[in-house]
Amino acid sequence: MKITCNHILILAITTLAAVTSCTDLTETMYPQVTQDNFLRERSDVKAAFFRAYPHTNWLLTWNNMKNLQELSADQLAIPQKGRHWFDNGIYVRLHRHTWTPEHPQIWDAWNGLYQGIGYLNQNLEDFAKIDLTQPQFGYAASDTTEMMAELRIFRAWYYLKLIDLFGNVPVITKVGEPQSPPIQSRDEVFAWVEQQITDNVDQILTKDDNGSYGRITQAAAWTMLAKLYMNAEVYTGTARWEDAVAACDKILSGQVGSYSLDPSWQDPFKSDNDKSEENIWALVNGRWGGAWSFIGPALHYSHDVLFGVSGWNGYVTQEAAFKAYQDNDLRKNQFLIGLQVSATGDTAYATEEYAGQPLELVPYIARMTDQGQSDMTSGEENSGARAIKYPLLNPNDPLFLASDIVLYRLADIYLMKAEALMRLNGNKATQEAVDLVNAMRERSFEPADWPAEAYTTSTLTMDTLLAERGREFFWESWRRQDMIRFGKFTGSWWDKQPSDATRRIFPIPRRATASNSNLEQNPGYN
Amino acid sequence: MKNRYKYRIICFALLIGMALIWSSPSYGQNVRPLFAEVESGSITPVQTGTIIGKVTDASTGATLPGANVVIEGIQKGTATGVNGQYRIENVSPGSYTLVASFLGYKENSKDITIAADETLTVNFALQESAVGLEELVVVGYGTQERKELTGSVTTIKEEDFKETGGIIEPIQLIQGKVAGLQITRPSGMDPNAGTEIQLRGLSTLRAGAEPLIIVDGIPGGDLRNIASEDIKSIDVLRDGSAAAIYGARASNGVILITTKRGQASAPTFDYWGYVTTQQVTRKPRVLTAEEYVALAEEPDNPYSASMTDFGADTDWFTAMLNDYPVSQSHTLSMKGGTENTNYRVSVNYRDMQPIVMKTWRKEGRTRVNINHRGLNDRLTFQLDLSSTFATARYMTPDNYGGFQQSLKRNPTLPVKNPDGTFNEIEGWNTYNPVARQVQHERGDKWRYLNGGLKTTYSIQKNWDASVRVATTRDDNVGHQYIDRNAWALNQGQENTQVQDNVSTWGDSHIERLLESTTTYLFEHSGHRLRGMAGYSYQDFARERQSSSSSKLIAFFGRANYSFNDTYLLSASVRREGSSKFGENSKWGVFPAVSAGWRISEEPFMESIDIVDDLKLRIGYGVTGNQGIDPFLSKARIGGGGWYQVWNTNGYYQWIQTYGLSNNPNPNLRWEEKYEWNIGLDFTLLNDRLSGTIDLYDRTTKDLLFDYTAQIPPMIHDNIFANVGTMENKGIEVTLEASPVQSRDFSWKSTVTFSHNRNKLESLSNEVYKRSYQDTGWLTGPGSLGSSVRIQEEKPVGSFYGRKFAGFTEDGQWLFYNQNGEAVTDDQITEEDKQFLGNGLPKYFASWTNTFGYKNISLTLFLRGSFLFEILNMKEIYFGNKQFLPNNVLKSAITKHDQLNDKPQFSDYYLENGDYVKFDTITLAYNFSLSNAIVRNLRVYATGQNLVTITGYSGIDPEVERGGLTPGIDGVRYFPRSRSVSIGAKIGF
Repeated sequence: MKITCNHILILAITTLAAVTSCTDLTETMYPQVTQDNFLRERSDVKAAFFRAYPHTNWLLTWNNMKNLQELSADQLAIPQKGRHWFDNGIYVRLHRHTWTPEHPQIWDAWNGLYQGIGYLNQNLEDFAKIDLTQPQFGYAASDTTEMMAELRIFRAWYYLKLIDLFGNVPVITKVGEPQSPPIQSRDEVFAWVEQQITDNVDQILTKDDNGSYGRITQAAAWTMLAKLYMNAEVYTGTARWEDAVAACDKILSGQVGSYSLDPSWQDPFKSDNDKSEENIWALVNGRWGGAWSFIGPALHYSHDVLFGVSGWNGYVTQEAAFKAYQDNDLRKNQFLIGLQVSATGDTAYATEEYAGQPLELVPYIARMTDQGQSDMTSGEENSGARAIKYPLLNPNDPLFLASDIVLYRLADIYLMKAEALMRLNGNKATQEAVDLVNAMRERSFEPADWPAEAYTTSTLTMDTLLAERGREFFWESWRRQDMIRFGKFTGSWWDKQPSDATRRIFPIPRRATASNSNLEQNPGYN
Repeated sequence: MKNRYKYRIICFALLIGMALIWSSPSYGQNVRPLFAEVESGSITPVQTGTIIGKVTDASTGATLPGANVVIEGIQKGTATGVNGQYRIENVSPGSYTLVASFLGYKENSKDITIAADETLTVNFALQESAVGLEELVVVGYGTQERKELTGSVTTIKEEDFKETGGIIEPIQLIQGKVAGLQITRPSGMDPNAGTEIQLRGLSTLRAGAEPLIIVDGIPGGDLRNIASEDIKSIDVLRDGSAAAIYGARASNGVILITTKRGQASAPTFDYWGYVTTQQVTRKPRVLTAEEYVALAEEPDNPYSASMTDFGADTDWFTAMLNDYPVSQSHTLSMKGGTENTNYRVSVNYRDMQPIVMKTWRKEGRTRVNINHRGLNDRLTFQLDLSSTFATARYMTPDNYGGFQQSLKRNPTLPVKNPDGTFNEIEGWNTYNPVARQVQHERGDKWRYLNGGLKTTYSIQKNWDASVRVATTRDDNVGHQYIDRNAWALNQGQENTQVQDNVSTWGDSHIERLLESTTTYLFEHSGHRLRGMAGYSYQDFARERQSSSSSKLIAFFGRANYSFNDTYLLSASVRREGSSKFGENSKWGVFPAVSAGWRISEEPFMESIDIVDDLKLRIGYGVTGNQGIDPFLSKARIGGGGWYQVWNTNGYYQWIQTYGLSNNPNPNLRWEEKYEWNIGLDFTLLNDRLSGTIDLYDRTTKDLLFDYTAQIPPMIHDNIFANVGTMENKGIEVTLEASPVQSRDFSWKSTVTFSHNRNKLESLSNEVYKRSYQDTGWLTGPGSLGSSVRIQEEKPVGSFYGRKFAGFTEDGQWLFYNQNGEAVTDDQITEEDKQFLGNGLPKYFASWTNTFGYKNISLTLFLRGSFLFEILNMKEIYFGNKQFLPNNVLKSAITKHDQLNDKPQFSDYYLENGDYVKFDTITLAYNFSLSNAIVRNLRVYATGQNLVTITGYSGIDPEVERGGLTPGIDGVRYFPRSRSVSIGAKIGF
């Protein structure tokens, strides 16, 4: 073979083609932004800073955390109704306390909580790396301090939920680190949460600061501490009732902002509840907001006749919880019961067992087409009263389902302080405790009825206090925690037999333990 | 932008380079004779003779242009012309052996004696060879003779294709004909639905699972852009050693499609056309109106009160159908030209009318292939242009929900009210499917353009260099028009719509390719070495709301060595980078090595007459998979919920919040498959029996999948990572026999058989654990949970759930718990669930018989799949009395009459899916024409999907097999049909 300069030229060109064009494999995608080019200006920082707020709103509404808190207790249930809602028995197991680490809703809550912690950790890490006082960001040094303190307290709120639900959990303060973290004991997490809140509470906004609505304020942080101390005996074995009283007093004294009870029991939940003077922390929602997560799953398929929207017939009220309200208790108006007829006289019709007949909701959960058996698997389409605590306006109303989702409100401070005082008084009511409970309860009765309904030191027992908490905080995700604190959670009611003490915390979900061998399972689960 | 420039500059530089070389004057010499024309001896004054004649196909009588006719011993010969005729002049008188040969035919020789000045006529009728050892097989970046192959490659040529009548996508031409290649249409003959192609089982969990399609050398081709009539051959690279030259995308095998091209010939025309009609095979047996009313009147029926008789009698399934819809296809091709410039142009129009009302697909295609050779035959241009324009109307909604409605809708409801409007009733997930189909028009308009130019320059006799550039563009605009009177727009309110409802959406893909290769051939005393090296750049841009692009860049090379045509060795390597992977691991190396031993060429085999050819092959190859979305390795910021935030102007404002939307993985890398293959090719008994046996073992490592991330410390519960390992082992056998081969009658029989065993070895490593994942979720009413579990040590596609134990006296479900006790469902926990079956067939077989009698041919084609289970979802939901007052399957009151409980998933609903299909029967007639106008004429009638023999009670056992949930026969489906076509092919 004769090699000529032309051969070399061809080789050269081929080689050149191969080498010059070769190795650039950069990826581009519009409009995708990545972590390394994200925080460029003030609006980016804002968008990142507030990420955990709507996440928390989702956690309290559509996430299963609220199902763990409510469906394991004695007020709400999702019984099987004919061919609907058996759903592999997940609701039956929640009710009967027979859940296992595989239970999908437990994973959902665990995952949702740690996801929120991840957003907050990422913010704390990113904001510490950049100087937010630079002109493109334009924050004052005091803003930065406040933001970092608020993020830390927000993160503490998440751990407060974790110790309540799971007890012993890993404390993570940086995304991705450490790999395979071990659990920390409930005592250690408790101490860490307390420290995080007390160290930072003075730096964050109060109700009077511009832009504080919807965010964690000092009063909200003190409510967290109150909740922490109220349940300290459950969490750590050491009661902290005096500290609970002190935390409540911080709020009641007006030192961290002025709050007062709203005139009506429903005002804190109305569609314009941003005007409430009672709410200490509510998450901001617009039309078709999180309130629908309580209402949609409770309405019957045919409720559009009454409300213009139909539901999927899931949540119902356990009979005893519905009957815990006296007929003259104004709070009983939140329930849908009886024949379902609209304001204009149109009747909703049943579509399942009673298809074609007018829909009549009954207080009990039982198979009346058969032998009247009443348990979690024998509901029918009309079983149980349906609770509409966040009001349901006309779908065309600009505030339709726009209620802000309430986390903390003053009524709870009243009842928590009353309870702590009674605990300190050998579980007996003091006059101050009675006054606090009555101050909260009075608005739920007509003035004419009230004298007969007011509590006295002899009628306000621990049991009546728990019952009153049940009536007032129905659907506010406190029932499981309250029942545990009052020692009732492992007892029996309706279709629930006594359960083991280990059921007072949930197991660490299997998906988490399977991917991290350092996660020691809670006692009583395997 | 930078890259685009670079890309153009390179192309330009290469073309300039070529131009420089051509203009170099020293290049006029050393010309390689490309055509085997033998110089005629013109020096001797001796009187000579002339031999003339014609070469034809022995079975069809068709002339064979381009066949070689050579006089043995004196190196004198020629090739036949356009009409199959040849002429050899100046033959010295004497006795000779005259040999005629043609690719794909058996050589034929005749002893002749020629005298001076004599013109001797010698005609040859060549028999097709059973296995064309000399035939060229398309392998990656080039061709090889079949006898030289060391990898596992199957070639199916046009004459072995199924008839095109009744075919939706061209890949169906080879359905069932390639052992190990599974081609299924889970939506039957819906022309707007895709075909699932799977080679040697499922080798991936989340990356692309289908073979790489290469059309005329351009990787990533789209089958919808090809008319079946334009395809000349389809080659399937089955094993890793053959496919590895395509490295990055070759893990699921490679399918190379070669379209027809022009050749030196007089201008000719060919026409193909057919009409097809269809008929439904099996329909779900729901209660008729009469049965429904009778059931409502039964005294002990607890649903009586709600089962209303609306007075009509509607068969909702049939109401959704077209009666004998007629589809048609017409293709016209023109070809011709000279040795140096030739062309083929084809146009195709196809109107596909399926069995379902108001659905169709219409397509128009053109394809232009031009070959041009010049510069002393050293420079070749090969230009390919093709386009497809299609319009389609789909079912509405597009997931076949209408047929779910037709199952459950009360049969006493009318389609229309007496006033002519559509009848609609309120209810949970309920609508009139006929109205939906008429009033909601959903479809798309699709455009596909492809252009490619390959320039080859012959530097030396044995040394070529070529550059290929190609661009593909694929755009699609979808639409939905909803009539203003449609119930969906007016439900629950007065008829308030004044305008129709319109929505449209679009999607655009652009792919660009630049490839340069060079090949070199070295031959010396029995040694033959063929080398190839190349570079490839391909990018893929997609615009659909967002804009993304990805790139593949590769360097590759291959060497084939053979000694005495007996010992064969091949080695290749490809280094490829994909933009989709993490910063640290974009590049992968994909080597392959294979060897062949042609035992029949050994001296000791000469005495064994029954063996015509025998070859042992062994190969090992590594291939990759990058069939994932771009950008998965990055830390992506995603939009979260909205929140009301105080702004600097002093009021609240809603803003969208943003945060990390995934767990980033900078180590995201290639999923790699390592495959061994041992094969044996044989031809026996004078070509009467031939076959191929292949054994393979393929292991996919670093499986790309969403693994459970550690929560905490990660933000998100899944991370896209490379973790698990999967194995597929199997055997593939193809046998071809010609038991009868006489002048008038022939019988050819082909059997293929394959077996594949899949096992997911692992789904975990130290960090990412996922011992199993549940999937195959069965939705409402009453969310039934998952039906399939992907678990370590188990095959993919395993059904998992409760084990049926019977019914209680009052018809409640009983399932077995861990201790083997039959208990009611509320006592069954997760721990009691077990593996119940598998939806992936273990065995596949097909059998083709072709009988020829004179000009008539009859083809019978059967195929089947064996040893798998199907989950019959229609029975779960609609074979249950609790679904009343909606309509139910008749089985609810017969087979499942005992059942009086909510729907539940268990093995009660798993059925054996084994089946054999009479896939095709074709009867054809070839007219023998010696007509100056019509060269050939073939007419045929073909029936497809005629009969299915199966124990499965659903409508068709050929259900979805791709993906991770094979074997689920859903409640939403497209009816299955058999088709009959009449077609013709005319050459003139």
